[in-house]
Amino acid sequence: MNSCTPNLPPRPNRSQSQERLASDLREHLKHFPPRFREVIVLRDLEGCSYKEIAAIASIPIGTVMSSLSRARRQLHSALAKGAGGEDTHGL
Amino acid sequence: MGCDLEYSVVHSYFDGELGVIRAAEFKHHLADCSDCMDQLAALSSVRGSLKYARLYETAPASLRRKIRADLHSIMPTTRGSLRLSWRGLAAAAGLFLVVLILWRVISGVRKEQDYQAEFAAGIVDAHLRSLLPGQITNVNSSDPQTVGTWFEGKVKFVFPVRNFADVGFALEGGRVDIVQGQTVAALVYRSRDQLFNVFIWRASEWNGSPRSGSRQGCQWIAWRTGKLEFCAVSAAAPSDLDRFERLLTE
Repeated sequence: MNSCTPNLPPRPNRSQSQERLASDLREHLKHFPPRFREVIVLRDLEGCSYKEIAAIASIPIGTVMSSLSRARRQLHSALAKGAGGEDTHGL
Repeated sequence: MGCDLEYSVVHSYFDGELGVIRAAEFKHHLADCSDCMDQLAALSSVRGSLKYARLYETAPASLRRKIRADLHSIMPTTRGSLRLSWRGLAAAAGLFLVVLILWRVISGVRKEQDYQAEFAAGIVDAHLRSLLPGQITNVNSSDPQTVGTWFEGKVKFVFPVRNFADVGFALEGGRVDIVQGQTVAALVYRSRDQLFNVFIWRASEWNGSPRSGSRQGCQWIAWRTGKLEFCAVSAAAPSDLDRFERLLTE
């Protein structure tokens, strides 16, 4: 995420919990392979379809799906560890 | 995954990428598959966390459509002939961000109502999600001590657990849930045919004045007691929720 988001001033009305979560997420995503970051941002934040992601990233749709699955599993595991749990619910 | 279905089906369903018939088949499958339910809940949790953290601002829908149309107009139609690298994606994301920073300057600082709307959305989503089969409780008991003991070690705060069965609100159990990326305790009560979730978490910077609202057919009311925040949610009538809140705050 650091490579694609410019430095921004702090948002005055974002809650402390949002700031903490954003900080945690940035730290986790920083260690993701670029492909994983790419697909999870395009899908879960930008709402791009699998077809759009495949076109933007120039990868097959099957790769979009497998990368997304692995990225989500990694992120869920990382967030769960932070909350004291480990179960990835089979992601 | 204990279920025989491919993981890709669950993800595709979650992302709205299954066709109508397959989606209907999967929805039917969900009624009997706790593994798939759990996966959907986990996917919802990940996306909810990403959205809640607001890693960056998103443009109004009209602006996003325009920028996306502009991006697509400069992209070739044959896949693979233009390789947008992560840097290219960063440039596109940067374009969204620059435009949105300007939009925020023009439209002004976000109001408290926006925060409340997000809070309401998160809490009602969690309530509705809990109504899916098998999602409502991790511990099934009407005994407050049993339920309270179950939460030890699972959440980092202590809270009272009471059963109001004698006045029509029976304790059914509890579970740990995630609301907007935060781990919360949830107590489950039943009054006649209506379920009530009481979400509990450590208080943040909110000043503690009771808040309430309705969304998607559910009523919710939130308050603060000491270092904990509470929110009761139900599809019951507002008067029933008010009566329940009075019991909880007595």
